[in-house]
Amino acid sequence: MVDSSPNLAPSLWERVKSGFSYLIRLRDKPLGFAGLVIILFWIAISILAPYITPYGPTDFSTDKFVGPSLQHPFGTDRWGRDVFTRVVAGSRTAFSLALSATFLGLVGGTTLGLSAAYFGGWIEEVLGRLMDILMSFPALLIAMFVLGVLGPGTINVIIVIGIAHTPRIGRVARSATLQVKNQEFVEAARVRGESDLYIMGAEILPNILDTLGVEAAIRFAYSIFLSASLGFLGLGVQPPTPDWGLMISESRSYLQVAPWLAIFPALAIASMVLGANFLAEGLEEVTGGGQ
Amino acid sequence: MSEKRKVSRRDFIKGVAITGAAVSLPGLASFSSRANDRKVVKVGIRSPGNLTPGLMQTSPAQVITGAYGDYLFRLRGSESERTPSLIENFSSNQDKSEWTFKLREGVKFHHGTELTSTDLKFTVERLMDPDFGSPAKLLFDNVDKIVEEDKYTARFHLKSSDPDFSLNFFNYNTPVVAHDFDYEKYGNTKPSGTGAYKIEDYQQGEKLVMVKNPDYFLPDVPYIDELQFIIVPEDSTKKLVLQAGDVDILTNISFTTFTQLKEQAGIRGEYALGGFQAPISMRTDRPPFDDNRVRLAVKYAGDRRFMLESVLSGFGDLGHDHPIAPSYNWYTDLGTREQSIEKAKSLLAEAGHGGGLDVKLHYPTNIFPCADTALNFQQAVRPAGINLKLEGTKSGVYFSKYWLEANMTVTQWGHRENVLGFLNQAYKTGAKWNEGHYSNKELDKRIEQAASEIKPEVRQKHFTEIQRILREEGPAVIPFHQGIFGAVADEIKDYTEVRNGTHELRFVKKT
Repeated sequence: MVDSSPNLAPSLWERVKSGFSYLIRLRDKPLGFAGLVIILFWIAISILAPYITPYGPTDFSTDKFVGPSLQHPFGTDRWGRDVFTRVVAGSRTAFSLALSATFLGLVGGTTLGLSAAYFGGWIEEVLGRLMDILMSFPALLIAMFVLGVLGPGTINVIIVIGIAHTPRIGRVARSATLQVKNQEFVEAARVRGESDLYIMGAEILPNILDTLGVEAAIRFAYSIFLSASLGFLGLGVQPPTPDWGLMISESRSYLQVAPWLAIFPALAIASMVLGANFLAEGLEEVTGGGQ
Repeated sequence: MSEKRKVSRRDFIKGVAITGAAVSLPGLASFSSRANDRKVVKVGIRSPGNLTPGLMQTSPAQVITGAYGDYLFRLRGSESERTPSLIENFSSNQDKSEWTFKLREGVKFHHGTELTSTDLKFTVERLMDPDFGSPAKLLFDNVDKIVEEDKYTARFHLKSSDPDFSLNFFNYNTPVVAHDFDYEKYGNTKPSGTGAYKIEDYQQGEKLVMVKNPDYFLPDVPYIDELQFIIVPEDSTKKLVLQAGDVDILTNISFTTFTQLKEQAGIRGEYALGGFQAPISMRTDRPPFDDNRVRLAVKYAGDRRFMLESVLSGFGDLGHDHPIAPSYNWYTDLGTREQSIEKAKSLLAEAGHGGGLDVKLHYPTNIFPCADTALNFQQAVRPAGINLKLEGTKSGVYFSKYWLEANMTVTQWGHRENVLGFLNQAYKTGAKWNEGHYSNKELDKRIEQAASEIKPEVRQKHFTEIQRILREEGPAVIPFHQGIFGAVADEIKDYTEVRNGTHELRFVKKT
C-alpha cells in the first residue's frame, strides 16, 4: 500500500541542486558575480600558494626592505622575507581561520536558534536572552576578552570568532525556523511520529539552508575582518606564520620607509572582505531575501 | 513693525571666528612671549607607572627620577665613569664589612629641608622593610645596621664582607629620599627629591612638568627652565612626535625606531652599551632541558653573529650564555661559540632527540628585543631540527602566566651595575627570578666566594669560573647584549644615554 501521508519538503539533493542554481543565477547580478569571482580567485590562490613563488613565507634573506621589483613584486620586509609570498601564503591562513570559525558559528548558532524556535516556551526564552546578552557586546570585545583568558593561537582564534558569530547566526536561524516550523511538511512529520531531532535535522534544516547560506557568507566576511583585527592586535596567529593582520601590525614602524609592507596585505583583506560581502548580497537577491 | 534680520550660516561662522580670535589672541601672544623667554625641553616617554621611589618598575620612571631625584653616585654615558653625586667621598674598612658615606653639605630637598645622614639611613631602611615591598630590598639584605656618625656621615655595618657594596646605590630604586616627607601620599604624584628639577604638575597619562631647581647643588645646573615629559605610549607615534618637533628627546626607544631616526636630518641617535640582555632560558628541572646535552645543542644551534647583525645591526655585544657582558670589568674572554648544526644534531641524537625537538618559546611581544630575539632564534636553530613554536603575549599575561613557569622563555633584563645582581637573582639555587630553575652547587659556592672575596685577582678567578660553568652547563642562551637607545633633536646638546638606564638630563642645553 502506498504511503499517502503528505510530505511536501524538498529533498536534500534538490536543495543542493538549487544551491548550485543560485550560483549560476548570480551571472545576472553583477555585484554578486564579482564577489563570486573574487572569492574563487582567492580560493585558487590559497590552493596553489606553495607553487606560485620560489620563496618560503618564513625564510629570511639578506635583501631587507627591498621595494617592489620583478624579483619581489610586493617587496621584502625587515627580515628579507618576500612580501608577495607572505600575502599569498596568508590567504591560506585567512581562509582556514575564516571558514573554520564560520562553520563553528553555523553549527552553534543553528543549533541554538533552531532549538529555540522549534521548542518555544521557556527554552526559547532562555536561549533568546543568552543570545541577546552575547550580542550586546561587540564581537571584537568578546574575542579580546576570551583570547585574554585562553591566550593567543590559531585554534583559540577560531573558537572565539565562532563564539562571536553564534548568537547572530542563532537569531537568523530562529526567525527562519519560525517561518517554517508550522508548514505542512513539518506537521506531516509530526503526524508520522518522527522524533524532534529528526524533524529539526531532516525537515526544517534543509529548508532554512538558503537563509543560512547568505548569513554564512556575511559571517565569512566578518571572520576575515575579525581575524585580521586580532592578528593586528597580536592576539591572533603567532609569528612567523604569514597572517595579513599581523603583517600590517608589524609594518607600522616602517610605514614611512617601506609602505608596501602594509599596502599589499591591506589590499588582500579588503578584496576578500568585499568579495564575500558582494557574494552575500548577490545570494540574498537570487534566493529572494534568503527565503 | 520691525523687520527681523536673518542670521545666515556664513554670518554665524564669521561671528564665532572673530569672537574666538579676540578671546585667544592675547593669550597666544603672552604664551608666545613666555615660550621665547623660557628654555623648555620636552621628553617623550612611555607611561611611567608607579613613580614612588623604591617601588618603581619601569624605565620611564627611572628617567623621571634621574631628573627630580639624586643618587649617591652617577654614571656618565657608556664609558661607565662612576662619579660621586650626593656624596663627597666614601670609604670602607679593610675587610669591606663597614662602609662610610660622607654626604655633600648644603643639599636641599625640594620641600625645603636639608639632606642629612638621617635621610640616607631612612632611605635604605625603608628599602629593607619587608612591608614596603621594594624590588631593591635584596640589595641590602647584607646590611646589619646603619649608624649616623654625624649630621652628614652614615656608616653601614654589613653582616659579611662585600667589596661591591657601593655599587648597590647605582640601582634606580635608590634615590635618596627625605625622612620628613610623606612618600606614601605624594610619592606617586609629586615626590620630593634633591634633583636638578622640581616636579610642578603631573597629569597622569598625559604629561609631567618639571621646573628648574634654583637651589641645586651644582652651580648653574640645570641650564634650562622647564623639562616636560610627554607620555607617548606607542613607539611608532614617538617617532612621529620627534619628527614633528613636538618633543626634543626620546628615551628608551626600540632599536627599529632608533635606526630609522638616526638617519634623519635634524635628529641624531644616542645609545649606550651595558649589561642589557635577553636570555633564552630553559627549564633545567624537567625534560627535555634537564639534560645538559639538549641545552648545549640549543646553544650550538643558535648563530650569535647572525642574531647580533639581524636584530641589532651590530649595535651591541656578542653574548656568551652567561650574564657578564663584555662591558663589565669581570668579563673573561672564553671565545665565541660559533654555530655548529652538526654538533647540535649529534648532541640531540645522543640525548635521544634524533628525530628533532619541538618546544614552545614564550616571550612578551611588547618588550624589545624579546619578539625579535625569539623570531631570529627560531630561524637560526631550525636547521638543527629544533622547532620552536613562538607563543608571544603582552607583558602582563607573559609575566603572570609564563615567566618562571614555561619550558622556554625570552625575557629582557636591564643593566645591573653589580654583576652579582644577575647571578644572585637569576642563577643561584632557589633565586627568586631563576628562570631556568637552575641549581649547581659549584656555581653557588663560586658566587658566594666572588661576593665576599677582597683580593681582586682571586675574585677574577671566581668570576671566570662562574662564566665557564654557565657557558657550558647553564640554563640560558644569551646571544647578545643590546644597548639602550634614544634619539634627540640636533638643537639638544649634552644629553647622554647612560648604560644603567638613568638618562642624564641635568646638563641638557637647547640651542
